[in-house]
Amino acid sequence: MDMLEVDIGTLDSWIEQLFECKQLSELSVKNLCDKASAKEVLMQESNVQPVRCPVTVCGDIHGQFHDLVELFKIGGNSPDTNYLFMGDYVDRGYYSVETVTLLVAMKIRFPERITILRGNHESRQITQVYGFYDECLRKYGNAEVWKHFTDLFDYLPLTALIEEQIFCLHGGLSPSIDTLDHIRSLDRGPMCDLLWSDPDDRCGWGISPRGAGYTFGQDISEAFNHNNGLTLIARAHQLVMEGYNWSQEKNVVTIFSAPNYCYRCGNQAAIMEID
Amino acid sequence: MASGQPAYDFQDAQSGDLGALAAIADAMKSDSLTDRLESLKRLNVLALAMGEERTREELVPFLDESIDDEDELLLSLAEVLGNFVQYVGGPKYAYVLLRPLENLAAAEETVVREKAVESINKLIEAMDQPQVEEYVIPCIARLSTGEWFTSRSSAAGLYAAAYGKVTDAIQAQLRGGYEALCKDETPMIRRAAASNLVGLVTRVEKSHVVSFAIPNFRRLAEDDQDSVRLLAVEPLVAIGERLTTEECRQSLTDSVQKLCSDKSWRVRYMVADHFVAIAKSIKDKEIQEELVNVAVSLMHDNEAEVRSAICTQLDGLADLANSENVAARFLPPLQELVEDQSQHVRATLAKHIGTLCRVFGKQGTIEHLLPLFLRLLKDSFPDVRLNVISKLDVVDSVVGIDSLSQSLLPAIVELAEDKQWRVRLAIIEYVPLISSQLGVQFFDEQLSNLCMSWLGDPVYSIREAATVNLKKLTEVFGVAWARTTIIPKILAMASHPNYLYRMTTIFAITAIAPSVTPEIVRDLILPALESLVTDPIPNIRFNVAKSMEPLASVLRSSPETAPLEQTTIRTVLAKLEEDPDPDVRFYAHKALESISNSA
Amino acid sequence: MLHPLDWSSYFDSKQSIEVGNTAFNVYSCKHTNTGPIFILHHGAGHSGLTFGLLAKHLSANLPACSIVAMDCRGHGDTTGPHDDLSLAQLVNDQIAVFEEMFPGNARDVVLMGHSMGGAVAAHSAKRLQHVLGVALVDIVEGSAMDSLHAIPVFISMRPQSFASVEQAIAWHIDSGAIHSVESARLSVPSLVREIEPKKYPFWRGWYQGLSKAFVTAPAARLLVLAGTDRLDKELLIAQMQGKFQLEVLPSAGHTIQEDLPQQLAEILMAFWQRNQRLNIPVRRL
Repeated sequence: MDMLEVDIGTLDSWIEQLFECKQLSELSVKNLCDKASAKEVLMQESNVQPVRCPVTVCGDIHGQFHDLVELFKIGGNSPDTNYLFMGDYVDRGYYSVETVTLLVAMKIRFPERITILRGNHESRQITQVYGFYDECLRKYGNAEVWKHFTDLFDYLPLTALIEEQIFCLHGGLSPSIDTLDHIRSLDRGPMCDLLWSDPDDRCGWGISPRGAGYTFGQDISEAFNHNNGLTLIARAHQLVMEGYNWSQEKNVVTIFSAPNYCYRCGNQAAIMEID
Repeated sequence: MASGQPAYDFQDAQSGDLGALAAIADAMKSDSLTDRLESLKRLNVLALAMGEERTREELVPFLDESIDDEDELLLSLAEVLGNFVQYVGGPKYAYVLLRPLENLAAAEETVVREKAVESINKLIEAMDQPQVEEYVIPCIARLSTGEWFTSRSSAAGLYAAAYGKVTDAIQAQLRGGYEALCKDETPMIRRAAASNLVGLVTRVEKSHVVSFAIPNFRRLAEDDQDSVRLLAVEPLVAIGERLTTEECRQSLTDSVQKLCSDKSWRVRYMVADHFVAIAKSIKDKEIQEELVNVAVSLMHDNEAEVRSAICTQLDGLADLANSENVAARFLPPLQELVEDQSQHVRATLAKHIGTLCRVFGKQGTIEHLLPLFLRLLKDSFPDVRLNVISKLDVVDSVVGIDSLSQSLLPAIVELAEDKQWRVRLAIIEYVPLISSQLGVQFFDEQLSNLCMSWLGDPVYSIREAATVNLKKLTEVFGVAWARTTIIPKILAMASHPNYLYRMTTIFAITAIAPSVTPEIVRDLILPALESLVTDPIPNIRFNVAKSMEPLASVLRSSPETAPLEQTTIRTVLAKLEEDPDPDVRFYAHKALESISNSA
Repeated sequence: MLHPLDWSSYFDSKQSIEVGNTAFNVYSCKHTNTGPIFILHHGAGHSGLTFGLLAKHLSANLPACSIVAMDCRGHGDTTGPHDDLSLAQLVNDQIAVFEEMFPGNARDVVLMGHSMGGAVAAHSAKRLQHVLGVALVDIVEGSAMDSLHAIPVFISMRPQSFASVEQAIAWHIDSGAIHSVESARLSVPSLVREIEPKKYPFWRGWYQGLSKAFVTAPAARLLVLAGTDRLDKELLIAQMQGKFQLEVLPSAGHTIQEDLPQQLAEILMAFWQRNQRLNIPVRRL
């Protein structure tokens, strides 16, 4: 792999700096996103990125950097432990910049050991409302860093498939998609439903109260799993008080990894080790 | 990797005088805050280029005139100017920096003012008496009479430094000026005067402690604003330290009593937080005895913050009390505090209660304090449990590990399986100490299984701490013990179906390798790692590669095992260097390079 | 330039509806007897005219809809006793007026309330039939409760009297209370007559339990906020569980319907359209 102008030593030093919750300089972020072949690394991945076991699956982080560090203390350090993050790295918490920079740097340094998917907050529009944009302005004095990252977000894969069995994505299913091959053939970019939908107790498809995406019932997830030879859909996107929640007769699991969300929700966080 | 390049390169300014000021003027007017900050950081370069005279005559006035409105920049400027004496021609020209700093000392933003005051104090430090009198005293006078509260507030921070550098007559003026600040109608100014009074108390002559410091302290201690009164606590301590026992009794007793029973909990908090310092500065034994009663009443205070603060003083309080009746006086409030409704109070208590063992003595501790520790160990709030455990070493230095283990071991074993991993972590870190005191047999019977089970903990940090623990235990109980007891158990985990536990095996044997003999590494550890070279999980394989370097350095220490570095280890790494996984190849290559370098 | 504007350019009718001893002044647009009915409830100190521009945009884009914006008890041109401004009373009033105007209604209803009116909307949802959606405009229980103590100060900062209606309009524009000159000319004249400190006792009751009422309302839910995202704990959890739609309009002031009437109308229409029936996209083969 050609690292162009950013070598492994530099990446390692960035990761070390970020672990101390110190943001990179604006220029380093630019180099990370543009020169360290971040886009090339991400572009090579499929929209249904195959992932091998063992891997530890994580849900929303939302800029809660110190909780991310805690997550590594519990799950193990990268690259020793393999990780799959299912999106929503930024917004609402106070350290979106450090969080997303660290995860992207780790992805580029150890592409085989960590997978990062796109969440509904990895978007230009949403980050302007929920804090990432403002945080970038506050920490860098301009919007360049926000621009570098939101440009990069367009290259993030939408879903991952662990050992052909566990389908991982941020939100949920879409009525316009039946098979994994459909997703593989999608253009990278906004595929809204996959990042917005939620499972629901009611059967069939429903209007999502969120104003985007759909709700899907157990019949839908059962059929999807059956038709695609899957055992489970693992997803994030919804706050669950225990940190994880099995639903739809274990066809779907929700994982949420930002404890005490927004520093006031009082919820637990969870990660899922698959071996 | 180059760091961010500023848009304006002041290195260029050195090449000639032309355009230097224009460059900084431009940079300081740049739209980018980063550029403006960067330009300030490089002021010294510019000053060097311009020379001392032009720095004094052009640069400093320019800085004064072009004062920015961004607080971050003002803060930076205030700091830079305090370190600028060398660039304007040394201490005799330090005064030229006073003018811009005086303006900054009147700024709206508190941190800017504080930094300006700090910098002016640095200048005062550098100046001699005539300069201080000629330049600083008028500056203090102007600030002290400033119309806007910001300048008066800053003025209060300058008196102490100037006081020691002027004649008696001017000292008298300064005392007068400060007294006016203590009487200022704005509470913020009185707060500034109260917080800076300590500096003057330590500098004025003894006679002025009585004539100047005490009356002003009293005025502040009786202010109608609690935010002022609470700042009188530190001056109280400083004044007490300058007075004799008798003088304290006469001048301070009354104020101490009033502050202790202040109706505002914030004042009582401040008293509680400084309690031992206050008592010590008063010196009088009789008053101290009374103060112990006051402390006991603060342990019952209505406000959790106050109860928490007095708990931090337990160590010093124990010394103040007459040791014969310490148990009788402290036990009742302590028994209430272990059940306090605030978890923060209980956590603070748990952190400090151990210090009482010293005065309770062995028997008193076993009889009275251990039951309290036990209750705290079972507290529902993890921080409380954690704080007791982390201070247990203080306890066992008093009661001996035997008594401690008898009464607390069951609770400790229970905590070793606590749901909170930080509690488990605290227990692990305590194990080597307990073990060294209790001996091998006790360990093998009571703790061995526990220690091995931590290697399989679901939380990585616990597994990591467990490996460090085994290394320490090897150092305590010796290599022979490790060889027969621990190592076989660790190696058995090398075939665990979960890769995270196989990885723990690698971490554990790599951790203890330096504490065992090269022969054990050769006979037991190296073969186990060799068997993991073909592990199906790349993460295991690259950790084998990572472990080779530390093992090689152990093998190198004996002539009998040293050759293995160039044979077995090289073979292992050569194989891993051909691995299909890029990370395995990377770490194998790195290890090979380092081994070649040491060859 | 700042002379008052008349209601008639914005609504089709201004009628008085008597309920008990109160005569409610109600502005409405009743284009057809099909389409959704938008019931709009203004906030404390405002009047139905606050929705004038919004009504105009809604009518233009959704000709089949009906719009009702009444002056609530003690406000605008409504006459009658106004001692009891409790939430329960305001909800009863809204329902009574609605039933008077649309007896035996079977059309979709979208309830929207601004500020205090949001509480009325959220609590009315459970009591009316055919409620398709509830929309709250710039009201969050947590921040409302936190700022209750500041409201008397805020009110005391307002001028006690104005020399003319024009001056009152100018003050509302200059102070930033209302961004749109047109809207201020329409809505301000109706609120000049009153600054009523006696409403203080009711404030807590308006907002207490609002978040819960909103997230459990048996209908689609929309929250529109001005400025920044500032949800209280209950709303934050509900939003993160996907229980309602949140729209944040950074450039609007508190009176969003007057500052950005067109944008709010578009959000409301999309909200109604999205929630009236499920559209399953055509599957690709």
